[in-house]
Amino acid sequence: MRLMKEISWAIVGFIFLTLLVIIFVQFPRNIEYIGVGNAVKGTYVFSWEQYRDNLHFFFKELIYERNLGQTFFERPVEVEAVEYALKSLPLIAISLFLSIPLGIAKGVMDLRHSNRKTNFLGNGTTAFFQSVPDFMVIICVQWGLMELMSWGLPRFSVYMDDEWYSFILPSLLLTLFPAAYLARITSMALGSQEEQLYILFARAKGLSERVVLWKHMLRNCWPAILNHLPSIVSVTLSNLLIVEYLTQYRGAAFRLYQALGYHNSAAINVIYPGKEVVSENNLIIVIVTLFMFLILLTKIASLISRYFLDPLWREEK
Amino acid sequence: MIHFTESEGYISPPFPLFTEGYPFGSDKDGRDLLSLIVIGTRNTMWTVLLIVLLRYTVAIPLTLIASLGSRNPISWFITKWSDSFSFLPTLFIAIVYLHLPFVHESEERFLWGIFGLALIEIGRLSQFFQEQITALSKKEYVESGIMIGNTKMGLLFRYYWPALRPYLIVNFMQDIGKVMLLLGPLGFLQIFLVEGFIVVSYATTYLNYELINLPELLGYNKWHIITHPFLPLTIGFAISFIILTFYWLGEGLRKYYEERNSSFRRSRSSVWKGMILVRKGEDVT
Repeated sequence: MRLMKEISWAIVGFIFLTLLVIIFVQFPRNIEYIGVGNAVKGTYVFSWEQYRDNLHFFFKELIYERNLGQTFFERPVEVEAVEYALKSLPLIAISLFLSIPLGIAKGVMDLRHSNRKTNFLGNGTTAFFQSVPDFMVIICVQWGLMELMSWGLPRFSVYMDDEWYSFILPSLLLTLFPAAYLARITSMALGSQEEQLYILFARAKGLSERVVLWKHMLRNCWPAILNHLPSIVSVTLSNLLIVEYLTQYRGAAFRLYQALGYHNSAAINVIYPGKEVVSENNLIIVIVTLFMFLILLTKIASLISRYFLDPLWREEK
Repeated sequence: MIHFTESEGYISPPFPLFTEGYPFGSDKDGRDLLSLIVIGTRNTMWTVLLIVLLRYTVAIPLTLIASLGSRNPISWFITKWSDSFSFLPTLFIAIVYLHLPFVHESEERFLWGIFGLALIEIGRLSQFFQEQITALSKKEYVESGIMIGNTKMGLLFRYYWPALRPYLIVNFMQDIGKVMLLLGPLGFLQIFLVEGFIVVSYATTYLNYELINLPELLGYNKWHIITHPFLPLTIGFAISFIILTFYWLGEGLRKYYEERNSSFRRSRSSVWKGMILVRKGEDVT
């Protein structure tokens, strides 16, 4: 019962945010440019009529025609969005596949090191990844790789997406931050179990520290870890944008950034002379919805697994 | 602009690190990077402080209103609001918001930006404080306070506030770090709240020192990563330094309060560790 209630609330939240995104992104973007001296200044003119038309047109096309319009490159929005999403999916999958076991192992290690002199290796590195911006770590790694290549490391391209190996570096870079996040969650959850009586009892029975940690303590930490699974995907996604931007891996997050019109308007003007750079509203909506759908799926998965792993939560009203 | 050094003769900007008179080197127009970073840090810190202050001035009254009564519609609304906002990473919400035409093209983009970035996290913050208040309301000393006839205001100031203050201060410090952690990548993606470089005409920029800030410096200098890696790296280190400072300040304050309260609490660290776990959806990147 509780499971169904939580899942339906998650779906309601998802629909609410999707509608909010549609309502906001469909704002008309009429900008009037006025020359001020040598510079050009834009002022925004808002008209309710056009806003209403935008929304009406969007929903009419979506519901009756199953049509989301075209992108800047004159292709159907849904085709382009799915194509880019399928390019990002392996990165996210590999990163989650690696970061969940790595993060939990690191969390357990952090707890073991917390009372020793080697604490800086455990909690220190976790805290480092918590407080250093992701772009810094990524540009340092790329710069280091290029330096190493000049010292004799076999050459490969660091900025690319057309080689067979091009998914490896971005997915490894994408693993670091979710793993550090999960390590912090795990070590805190384990820390809160430390003074419980059942742990004292298990130790008194003479069980080895390894069995106590992995079998007794971790079993009780699963609810807390599972509860944070959607946040881990969220961390991965916000990292994905920076990673794709910095490694030139053309995935969905990068396409979203491009669709917003921030990227390389000058370059596009060279390739498509005379074509106005517009922000591709429908593409923004579709990609954002795909990302939110991924988080919704993780949320449902975490709720279901929590239902089976956490009897206290199951009984709670 | 050129510069004369004894070892290499005349050099053109960007000057490398440790050039005479330019300890951190310079940017491509020959401006001293150390001065830019110092001025930029001042302006950036004001922006960050404004965002966090606005967030707290809205979140605290909201929490107090939401904590009145047991089945409060505002409390329900805040929970659902922050739950549905957890479907997108804060960075994505921020870039979509800052791209909205009435924000992006507005004369008051700075104010709109501060308002929006503060608003994104208000639900989460308010939910966190509400959970603390709910946990406190089950404590015996609060029940005794109700028994001896305290008014609601008396309860708030004498019973809840002293227990909530440490959480508030620790979170305030760490939120400063988190906002910086959001502004850094935004600047790197060339999405700025304030622009100090004003384009006067083609390829000519005028620098307004009152507005220059670290995210913008980073955004403009990131292209030099291959030719002059020290430029983006130094600015990036400055941003990381701010985040690390406030992160450790928060951690240190937490440890201080923990030790001060340890004689009163049975299991001293678990309360604080529980507090962080309660704050679900905590965005770290």
